[in-house]
Amino acid sequence: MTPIKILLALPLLALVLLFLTRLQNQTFYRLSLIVVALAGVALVLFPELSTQIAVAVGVGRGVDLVIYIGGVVFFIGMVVFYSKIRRIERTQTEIIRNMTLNQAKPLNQA
Amino acid sequence: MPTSNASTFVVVPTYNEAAALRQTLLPLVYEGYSVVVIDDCSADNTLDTIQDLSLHYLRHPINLGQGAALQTGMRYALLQGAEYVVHFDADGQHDHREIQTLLAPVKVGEADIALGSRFQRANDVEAVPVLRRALLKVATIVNGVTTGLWLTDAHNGFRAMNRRALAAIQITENRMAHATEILSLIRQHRLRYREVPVHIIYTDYSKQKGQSALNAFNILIDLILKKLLL
Repeated sequence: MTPIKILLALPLLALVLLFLTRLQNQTFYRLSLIVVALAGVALVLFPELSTQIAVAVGVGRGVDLVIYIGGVVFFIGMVVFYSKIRRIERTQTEIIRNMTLNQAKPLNQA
Repeated sequence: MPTSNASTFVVVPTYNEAAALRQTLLPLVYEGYSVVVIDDCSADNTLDTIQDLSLHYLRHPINLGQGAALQTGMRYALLQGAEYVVHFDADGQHDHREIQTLLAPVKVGEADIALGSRFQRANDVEAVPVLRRALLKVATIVNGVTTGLWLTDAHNGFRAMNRRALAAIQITENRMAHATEILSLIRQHRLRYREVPVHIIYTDYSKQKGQSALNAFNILIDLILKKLLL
């Protein structure tokens, strides 16, 4: 067990804990987060594992495989957050619109 | 004439247009239209310049975008019992004398919504700056592909509609993509539509305020993302 392994594995586990306590009622996110984090811990502890998987799926080096998967996960995350922001924006618009309509004032109406 | 115009609500979204807004609104108020100004949280003295006019003033407490402002105005008009609604630009691009031309097919019951077009009469087309002409052509193709509505003009903010269209059109694109969204909604709700030739007045002021090519790109991305995500 080299220091770098502890340095990388512990924050990942802490992250899982954080998300589990913060994200409520979102089984899918929780599960996928646990899977991703456990895979991360496994790779940190047994680096040669990534090379074995990489060779098996047709990628030369384990590091490359990790980067590819990381890229895909990052992109999915972006899309998830984008749609969340859109939903929040929509709610905000509805609230602002109702406020506006409630405060509408006719100027100098005959 | 003025009394019969009161059931026509002219919706004018505005954002930092204090310099031009009053001139745009004066003839509308004079002709007896119910004018609804939606101030999208302008930072200038918009309200001061129109304080004395007889109209409906609504103000978003934060800036949401032109699409959102139009939707707020339309909801207001619907609640106020509007018979017809007209979308009208604040910067003076549209000619108030053409409101009745635009409304004509709606009033006689041939269409639920009339869309202004700069590309149906030679002299209207000539008034459009060359670069913008090319850009709009591309936009009509994008609109055609994404909405199934093949029109001669795109992003022409001059529209007129009846209550049926007013109730059907619920804009959710807060920014500029609302122009294309409206076409999608027309298609989706099977509204009867008609293009009507209109003349757009390009002043240095309105050109400077208008959309850039870069903006067109942003609209396209917005629409693609919407298709993918919602």
